[in-house]
Amino acid sequence: MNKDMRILIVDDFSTMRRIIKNLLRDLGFNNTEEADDGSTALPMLQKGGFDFLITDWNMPGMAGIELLKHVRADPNLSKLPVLMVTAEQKREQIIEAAEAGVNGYVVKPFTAQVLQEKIDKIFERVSG
Amino acid sequence: MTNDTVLGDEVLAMAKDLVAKIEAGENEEAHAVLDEMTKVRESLLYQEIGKLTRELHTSLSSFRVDTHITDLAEKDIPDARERLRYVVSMTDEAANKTLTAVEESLPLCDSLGNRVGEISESWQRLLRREMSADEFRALSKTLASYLASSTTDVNTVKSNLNEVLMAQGFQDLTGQIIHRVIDLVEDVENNLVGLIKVAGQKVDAPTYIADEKAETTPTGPPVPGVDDSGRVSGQDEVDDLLSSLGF
Repeated sequence: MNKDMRILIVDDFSTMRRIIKNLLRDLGFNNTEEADDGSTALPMLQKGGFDFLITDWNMPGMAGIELLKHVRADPNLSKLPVLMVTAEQKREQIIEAAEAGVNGYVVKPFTAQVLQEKIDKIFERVSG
Repeated sequence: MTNDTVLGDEVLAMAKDLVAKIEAGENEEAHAVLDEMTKVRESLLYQEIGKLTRELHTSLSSFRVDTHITDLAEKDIPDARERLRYVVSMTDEAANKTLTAVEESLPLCDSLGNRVGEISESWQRLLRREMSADEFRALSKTLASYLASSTTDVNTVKSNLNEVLMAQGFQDLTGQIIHRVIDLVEDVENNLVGLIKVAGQKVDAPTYIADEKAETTPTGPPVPGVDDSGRVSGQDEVDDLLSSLGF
């Protein structure tokens, strides 16, 4: 796995972005950027250069699920690995995210170990 | 005023009749007219008193309900909103304080660990007598500087850990605030039930209207005991569900 890959962290709570950023740094990923909702994140993604998207679901403006759908609908971004990290845990929601093409789904509160496992799994599959 | 006019006309007519009867010396008839006049007066008076009593009763009972509801709407609800905003800002502050302390401490721990690694490597070489005099002098210097800086770094880490410890005080404070808001919500619920009862509708028990419009509308973190239905209980169930979908 390329530790220099550029990661976009999207969450409306700055504390959660900091937690994820610190966990990623601990895992060796230092190349991270942040956005506070889908409508801020999408133009950043469309500019290009991101290798991985980690997004919350419940955000004002554009929610994470909408962001995921936009990403999958964009020919330049459709292959971008997306990990959803969210407190939303209804079965219907998880199924909707899966159908929309999410690569991993982590429910809050989560541990550093779970985050690492999901990231490892996503990139095993992407590279494999 | 209309009553006054009616009273005036009626009484004037009766009074004229009364004078006429007395002048004619018809005493019995004059008494009857007098009785009639008194009755008219009394019945109007009772009507007025009855009306006033009803109004007083209505205002008193609605006043009792109104002041409580008004208090809730004007004071307690905005109050609760503020309390909850305060909870958000307190938790935000505590989380940031903690994160800052951790962000500052982790690199210090890394550098302490790395330098210990370097020194212990040199130390092993010294024990195996593989070290030249120059290298030994360099090692002594490194050791001295390590000892000095490690004391400072350990103190910084310790004070950051204390910072983290202290920041957790938000739990107690926000918990107390949230409990007060819960009490208020119960109060509002009871008052609404009371109002509905006053309005004449039969109320068996408060029923909760489902707040989830669509099945996948985000609702935030589930609250145990309130938002249990249709939800997975943790990461393991998420993983099971996803693998059942072919993930």
